Amino acid sequence: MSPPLAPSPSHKAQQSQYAWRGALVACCLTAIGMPMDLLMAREVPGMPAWPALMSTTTGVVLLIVLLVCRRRPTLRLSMTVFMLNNAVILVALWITSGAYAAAPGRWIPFQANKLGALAAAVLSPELVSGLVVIGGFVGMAVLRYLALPIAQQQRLPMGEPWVIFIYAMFAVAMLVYRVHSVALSRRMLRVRTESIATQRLARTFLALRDFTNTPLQTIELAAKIVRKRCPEMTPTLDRVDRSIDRLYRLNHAFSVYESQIEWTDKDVSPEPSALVDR
Amino acid sequence: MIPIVGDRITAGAAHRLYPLRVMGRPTDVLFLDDDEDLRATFADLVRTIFERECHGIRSYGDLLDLGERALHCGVAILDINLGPQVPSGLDAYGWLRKHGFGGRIVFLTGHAASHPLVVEAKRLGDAEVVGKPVSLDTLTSMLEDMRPVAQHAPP
Repeated sequence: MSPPLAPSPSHKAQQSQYAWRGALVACCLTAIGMPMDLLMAREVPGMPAWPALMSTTTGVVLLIVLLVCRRRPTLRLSMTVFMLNNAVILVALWITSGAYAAAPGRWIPFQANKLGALAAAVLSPELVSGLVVIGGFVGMAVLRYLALPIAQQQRLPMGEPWVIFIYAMFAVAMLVYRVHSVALSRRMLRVRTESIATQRLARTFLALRDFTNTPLQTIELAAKIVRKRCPEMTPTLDRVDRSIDRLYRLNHAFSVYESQIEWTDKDVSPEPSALVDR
Repeated sequence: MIPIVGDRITAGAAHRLYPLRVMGRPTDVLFLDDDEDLRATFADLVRTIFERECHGIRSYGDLLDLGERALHCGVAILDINLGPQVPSGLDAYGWLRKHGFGGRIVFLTGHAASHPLVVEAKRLGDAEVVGKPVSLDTLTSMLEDMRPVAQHAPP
């Protein structure tokens, strides 16, 4: 059984880049989504503007932080930004949901929490941060419901706020599936990269072997000619033959790489000397 | 000036000195390889150890220049890969068979058995493929087991 493959620096960088993109999209959605919420709630009596503005500002600031660090993003930075962004959203939603609940008219509660949980499943940099944020949206909705006056609780549609657990279940399933798929893709990419590296090494070894075959053949045949013409050279030529045998054994050792090469059209006329002369 | 390899006269000089052998003989060996040292050494070996004439050529173009003389050799030993972007030993094989070469054809290669050119050479059926380095015993069996030209002549 082969040992597990350790993540190479390039794979870690790739993972950080992926996490950075998720955090970036999350901040963009906050920066765009919260002003829209403010716009829709402008006629709700008692609705404060500051939670949405605070959330939007946080989203923009975090967006700038991510853009500044775009050259060298780290997984930790992306996770921190993602969690912070969502924490501020939760604070804003706590305030705005209180105003919505108190307002006259029909309110479908905790829509933003449901949407947030699903968005976290798609955009979270890591499994843990995703679970924490999904848990945050669900927990906030339940606590907010419990904090509402009884009269306001009774005005909520049937099944609310417990419907959010169904959303949470879907969000967790999506999150786990996505994290697993990404890990699988990374593993496949790593195996593919290693396979390419092995092939390159095999080609190099075989090219070296092919390159040495002809000179070795020449030396061996030349030794046979000398042996025929100058019998007194036999002891010296025996040493030459033994040395050639050792080199042949080395060449033979390279043969194991033959099976690892997938020949392409470009390989039909390889020039081993090009490898040696470069 | 007569070109000499070791204490032997080279194939080209021999043809000029001995016009009767210009057409080549069934015991002659045709050796195609792009490596000059191997070519010269191989020709020297064939003359020294096997006491036969060897026509060492480096390319498909040389084969065309040799023409009739090549067709009268008893055995042709062809390197498969003669370099990038040039006709290969397989092209030389095709030319020889097309022009009625009836002797034994052996491909000599330093490449992997799975290499496309080697696979193609093996598929030909009436030619052998031998990997470099070839031992003296193998070489002896190649040269001593020359079948008569008539046996391979095309119908």
